[in-house]
Amino acid sequence: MNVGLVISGLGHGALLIWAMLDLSPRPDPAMAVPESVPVRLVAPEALEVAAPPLPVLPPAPTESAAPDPVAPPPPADRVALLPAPPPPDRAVRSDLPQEAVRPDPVPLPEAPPEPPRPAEAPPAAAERIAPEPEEPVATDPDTALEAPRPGRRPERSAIADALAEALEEPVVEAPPADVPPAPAPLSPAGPPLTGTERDGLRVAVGRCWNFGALSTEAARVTVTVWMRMSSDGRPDAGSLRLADFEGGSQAAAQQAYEVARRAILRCGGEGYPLPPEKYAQWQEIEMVFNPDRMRGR
Amino acid sequence: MLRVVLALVLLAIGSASVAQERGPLRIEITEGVIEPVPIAVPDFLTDDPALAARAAEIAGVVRADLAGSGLFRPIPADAFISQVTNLDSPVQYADWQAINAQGLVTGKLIGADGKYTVQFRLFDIFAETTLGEGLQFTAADTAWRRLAHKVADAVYSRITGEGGYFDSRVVFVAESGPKDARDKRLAIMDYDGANTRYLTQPGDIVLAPRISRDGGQVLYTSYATGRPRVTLIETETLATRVLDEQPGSMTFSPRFTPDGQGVLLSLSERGNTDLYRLDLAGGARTRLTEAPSIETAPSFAPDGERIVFESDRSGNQQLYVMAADGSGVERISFGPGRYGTPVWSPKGDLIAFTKQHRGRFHIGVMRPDGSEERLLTASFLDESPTWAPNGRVLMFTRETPGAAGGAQLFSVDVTGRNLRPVPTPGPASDPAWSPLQE
Amino acid sequence: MTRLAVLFLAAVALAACEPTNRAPAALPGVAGDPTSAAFFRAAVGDRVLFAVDEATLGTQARNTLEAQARWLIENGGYNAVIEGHADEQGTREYNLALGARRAAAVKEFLVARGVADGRLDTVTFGKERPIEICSEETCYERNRRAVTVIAAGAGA
Repeated sequence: MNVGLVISGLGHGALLIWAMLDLSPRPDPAMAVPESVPVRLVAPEALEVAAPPLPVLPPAPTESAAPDPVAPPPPADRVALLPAPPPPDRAVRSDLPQEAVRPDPVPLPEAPPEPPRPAEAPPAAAERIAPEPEEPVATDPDTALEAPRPGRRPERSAIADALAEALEEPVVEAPPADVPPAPAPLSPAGPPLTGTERDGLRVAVGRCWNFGALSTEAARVTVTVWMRMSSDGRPDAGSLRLADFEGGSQAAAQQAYEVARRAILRCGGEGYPLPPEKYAQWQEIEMVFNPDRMRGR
Repeated sequence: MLRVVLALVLLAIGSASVAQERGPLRIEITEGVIEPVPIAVPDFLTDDPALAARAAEIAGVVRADLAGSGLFRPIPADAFISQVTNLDSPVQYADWQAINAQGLVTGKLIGADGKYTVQFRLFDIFAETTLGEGLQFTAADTAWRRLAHKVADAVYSRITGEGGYFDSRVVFVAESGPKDARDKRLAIMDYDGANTRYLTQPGDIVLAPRISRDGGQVLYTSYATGRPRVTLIETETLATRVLDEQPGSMTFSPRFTPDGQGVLLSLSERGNTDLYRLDLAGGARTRLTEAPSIETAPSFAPDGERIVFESDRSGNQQLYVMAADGSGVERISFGPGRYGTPVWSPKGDLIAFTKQHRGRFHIGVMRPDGSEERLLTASFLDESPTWAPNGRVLMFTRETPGAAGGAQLFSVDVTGRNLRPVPTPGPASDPAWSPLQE
Repeated sequence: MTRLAVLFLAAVALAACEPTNRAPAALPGVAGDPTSAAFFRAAVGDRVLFAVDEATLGTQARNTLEAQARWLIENGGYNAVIEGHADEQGTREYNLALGARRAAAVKEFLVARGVADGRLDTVTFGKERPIEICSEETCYERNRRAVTVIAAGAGA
């Protein structure tokens, strides 16, 4: 054994230990669903304030200051550029409502029972957007978002565990392979994905990535979505989560994430065109949705 | 011993390096599409057969609101596979996915004692979950359109993240007659053109109204006294009050201050027009600009701290921003052409304006510092934009040329898309959009 | 017979020399009275025109206003309201201000020529009262105007 190898090995080992210690504990990725954007009208305190009653339309003053709203038809050669016939109740001078419209924060009496899910999907809790008070997870988005490359963690901690054990005891122990990409250096992942294969996935998702219905702010946010894929090329719906975002507020990122999620799930229903023999490489995917090039369209 | 340890370390390194290559596949998506989102809004349910027609109408208004925004595309009912028969039954997501609905709104109408309650739920079809919680709204049955608008606002803002804007009204000038003898009267309507009501009689010129925050008052310029004078009208009682009675004065272009206590207006004396603030209660007047040029068409920032206005002090019509007390005037428009009618977005992030250049008129937007100017429309004559409560949509006047020309209201999305006419009983101009109603 | 002819011809000739009550320019429909409002409108000229976005008085405008000033001084029983107008090629409120500026420019000129300030009032109509509606320069230029509308005053 030469000295260089020893030094290099110790150096790498030190780096590994340092890296392991530096990583903060993180929750199970499946549970770290970001806080959903509350429906604006739900906040009870905002709604308990009784709105002032809407004005009552007075009986028509004698000079009928507010007469029949149908204007006398303009002379035929003058333009009345009505694009569409007015709604039928237009001709009636409608009374303004007598009472305020009070949005009621009370949730509907029975939530619909969770529809039956396909077998491979994990429990619905991970995917529910509506905030549920009984969920134990303190869905603190900050920890979830700060975690870089979360997909790599399981392997690293497994290796670190193994390393720690090895250093303590003179027992040879292979690192536990409880995470699918078995850390054995000889797993059959095949050659790296080709550019064409990557483009195929890009195009397939992009087709469904519709940010027509987004606020102007949310349409500018870049979101990173982490997901697990099953071997038939379908995304595991329960595994999807917002891993990172930049270029906007948390709320805007949530909207952008939902659009990205819809894109992934809509176009992935039949499975994405990914080579099964390279499954180990695309079993976990981090998809970055970057709208910068779409701006100004 | 050392050998074993080092072997493990190497193994670990080896695995780690291989595992590093085996991390999640990283892919960047940069090309998407911009299309209206297909959404299904089946007719709302009701237990009372007598309310079935009304329940269907309410769903119809929700569909019209969503479609009218340009961001959604309601799917026709004859394409539905599943039928919704109960608001609490589980959703057959596969059926809605099959027709490519991305969202589903189910609703129910309950009526009693002259009041309606509308309940609704919103579902994300491909994520197979509800979005938000169900909500319900209650109002007098004559306000059924407002209930529909409230539902549409909730759906719209939950999906897009923008504030809603459907439960709002627009005050405007209804026009009739030829260009050289035009009759004008103040009118108010729901933003979608329904429930139009007139506030003044024809006969005197009325111009450029503005509505108060609570919708109870409208400021406008009236020629009832033979000269332009800022006038206040109560939308309930239709009582009017001329705000500036100084003989020989001319006032116009009135705006409510954000606190509703005052009026910002233009006053013309000896040919010079400047901005003044008038106290509504006491009538005290404060001069805000003092320049030999024309200063008019002001607009408050939503926080009331600053005012944007037009002035020709540089030689032609341009936009300026100043503090609410008149200090710190800075020019913000620098492009070729003339800029006027600035209006500050309720979100505070943009100023919309009218631009004239090379014989064409445009509605445009820019940041409050003047940067990122974008033109949204172009025509013979587009002018006087007004912002929807969510700061995303603009309504403005478009006039056609010639002896047969007339004015009409149009709306456009701040992205420049979805330009569409606003239905009014006849020709119309000078719209002013109210905030969302309570 | 020749004498009669000569007398006849002379009478005719003399008749031709009689001063008539017509204005020298023989405008159609003009009342004979040079102190009348109709005379002011038709003969003196009740309006001046402006260039686009301008309120300055050109030569022709100044000539017309000189005549207006003289007439108003001679006919002290009249007051006047000067209306300022603009063409449709501008935004609504700016055009109100522009009309006010034009009316004021005319008033200033008349006052400088000796018309009492108190007899003149100004009003703007912006682009609300065009007289020509064809959306071309030939119509626009006639809409960019200030009109001096006279009415019997307190001293009439």
